[in-house]
Amino acid sequence: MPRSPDEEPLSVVEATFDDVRKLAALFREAAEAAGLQERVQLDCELALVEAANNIVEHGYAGTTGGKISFWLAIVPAEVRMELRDQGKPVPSGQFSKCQQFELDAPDGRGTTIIQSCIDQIGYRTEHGENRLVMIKQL
Amino acid sequence: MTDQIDILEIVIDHPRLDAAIAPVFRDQMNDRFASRPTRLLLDLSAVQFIDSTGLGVLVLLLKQMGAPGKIAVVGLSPAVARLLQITRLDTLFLQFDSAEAARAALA
Repeated sequence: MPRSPDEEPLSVVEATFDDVRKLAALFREAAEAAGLQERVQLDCELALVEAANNIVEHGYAGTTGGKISFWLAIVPAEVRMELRDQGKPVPSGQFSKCQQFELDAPDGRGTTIIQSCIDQIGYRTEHGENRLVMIKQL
Repeated sequence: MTDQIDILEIVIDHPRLDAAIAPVFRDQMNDRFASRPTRLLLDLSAVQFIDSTGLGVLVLLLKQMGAPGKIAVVGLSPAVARLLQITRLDTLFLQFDSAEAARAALA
């Protein structure tokens, strides 16, 4: 399993919701092989799917042919997931804003869900590439 | 004579209620909601995963039902229960261990 973004990604998928399912399946396979606790698996898969969905829906909105690259490292202390894309960046500060869930809102929960599931979130854009790092402490 | 409240019961057969299936799921729910129920029992036993998009479809159902509406859910997998907990929607979607208990609560 690729441990570092310096290595080849675990997977590169099309920026479609169907392919987000492929990322989730890859994560589950690795998580089960590593024997991760159920709660950790649930939280990480959910955060991964929400983050990838955001890339599909917002990052590549109005475009076709976009790609999402996925790195995954599972070590004794943490699970580290990284997504990279070349779409429109997430608005500045989005992942560090303190947001409350609107109970009856039909959408808009994705980022807050990620914040609830993940311990450390890092996001930056370099040379037209967006990099989202999500770390779950074990 | 006692007024009987009709409960619409729907068994969801999608293993993943996510963004990939949400448009189809939404259309299916809209078709079932033509009768404008105020009580809904959702059997989620087959649902192994739900994301915010899938959850959004369920929230829309609750909004369509309006103030008197109640939704009960049964058969929650750990992933579904976790998302409802995270989003505090476990306060709006009443959870039961069995369909019988759900029906009794909705009646």
